[in-house]
Amino acid sequence: MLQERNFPTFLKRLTPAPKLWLSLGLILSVIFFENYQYSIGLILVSVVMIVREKQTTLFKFMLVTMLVLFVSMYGMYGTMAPTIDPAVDPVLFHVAGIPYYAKGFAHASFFFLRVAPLMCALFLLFLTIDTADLAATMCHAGIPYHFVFTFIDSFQVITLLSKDMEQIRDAQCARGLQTDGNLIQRFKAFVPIMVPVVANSIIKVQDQAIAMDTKGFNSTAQKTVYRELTPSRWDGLVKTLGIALSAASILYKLLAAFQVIPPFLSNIR
Amino acid sequence: MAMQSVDSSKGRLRSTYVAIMIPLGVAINYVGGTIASSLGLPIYLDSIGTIIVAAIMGPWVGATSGALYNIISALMKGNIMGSLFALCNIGSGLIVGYMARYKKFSTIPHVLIATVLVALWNAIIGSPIAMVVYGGVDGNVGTNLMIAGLQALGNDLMGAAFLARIPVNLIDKGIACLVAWVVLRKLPANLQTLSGSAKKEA
Repeated sequence: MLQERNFPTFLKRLTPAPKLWLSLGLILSVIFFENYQYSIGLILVSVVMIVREKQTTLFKFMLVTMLVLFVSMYGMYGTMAPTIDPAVDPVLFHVAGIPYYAKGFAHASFFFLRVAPLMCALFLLFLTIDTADLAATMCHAGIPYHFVFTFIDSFQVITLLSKDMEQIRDAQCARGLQTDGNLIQRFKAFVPIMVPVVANSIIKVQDQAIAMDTKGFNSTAQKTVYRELTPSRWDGLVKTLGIALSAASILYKLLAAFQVIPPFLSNIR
Repeated sequence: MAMQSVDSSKGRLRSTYVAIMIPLGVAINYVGGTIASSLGLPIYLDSIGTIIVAAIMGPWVGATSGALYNIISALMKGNIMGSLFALCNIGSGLIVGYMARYKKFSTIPHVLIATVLVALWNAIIGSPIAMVVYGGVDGNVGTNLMIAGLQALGNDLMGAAFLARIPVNLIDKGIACLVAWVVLRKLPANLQTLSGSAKKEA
């Protein structure tokens, strides 16, 4: 959501609406298809695109989260999944005396391959959306101005408050605050950082309210949008792809649920 | 002539405050989660903003802020399924918001009651959501270790996911409620009454 670089890339040239349609298509297809080749393929394509779009720095944080999730899911479900019957299911291997089962890994894959591809793909799609473009798109779509303002302002306040937090943390560390060590010490470090961040931000609220009111935030006049979106030549194709993927996913799920067709795509479990 | 102060708890100015406080609650939640993560704490700490906004602006504004945080966080992290946890934050906002409106979020015992109610709500609602989204475990190491321990003791996954979330949420929401209460006490009087609760006599 917060564009770090301004040079135009393929995804940054696209306007927000096609990216939102594509996101919807990807969400529905990953959840409804339940196909591991599709999920792994989506992860690979997303990683290639992340490298091409030069978003690897932020993706490293995402990778850590995914790694924790991977270890938690495969480590725990591999041996403790509710689908495992220890009396019948064959043991794949032991780790420190703990048995791991194929059924457990299948259970872990069902959840991991639903979360991980979307994390990679949506992270990239939303990261390359400019918030001002998104606001203009939402206004053009007829969403009320106050709602658009609140939604878009959230991204901007997150950035500002994160900077405040870093300054306060550095200042508190300079005063001798211990941010590492055992768990108790780290817990103790939380309040001296958090309370000033929160208190500072709330004190500014009154000034901000007056400033917004004097600039006509509550004016009932028709609001205008000072932003012109330049459509990319790929917009139509990406939007069509998103809509087609959404429709295909819903259709497949409905037909499979009513047993009109066999669930031939679903092979994760 | 005596100076008259603007009553910001109703009318147009209130909607301006709502438009400022909802994003602020979202950002405080996000920063809280970031600090907890950077300190390597095994809890979430991402509901402080919801609780503060609910206590200042009322239950529904707090609930909206909480829901919006989960949606925005899900968008920024790409984990769209995680937005289902908005139900937890909506409940936290409503509980603390109504307690604050009826002056039941002003003393330490009130904070303790709020902590227990919010923690129970989050455990009751959070565990089925975690079952649907992740199968029971999630990205929080503290919760996962407790789930593994409880399963090793013979609990089924759903039971373990619920029981593990009670102590984690008690600590997590306890800190969130305490930080919110400390901050609220230091606010100017006109900001403390934006929820529409009775004003203090001058």
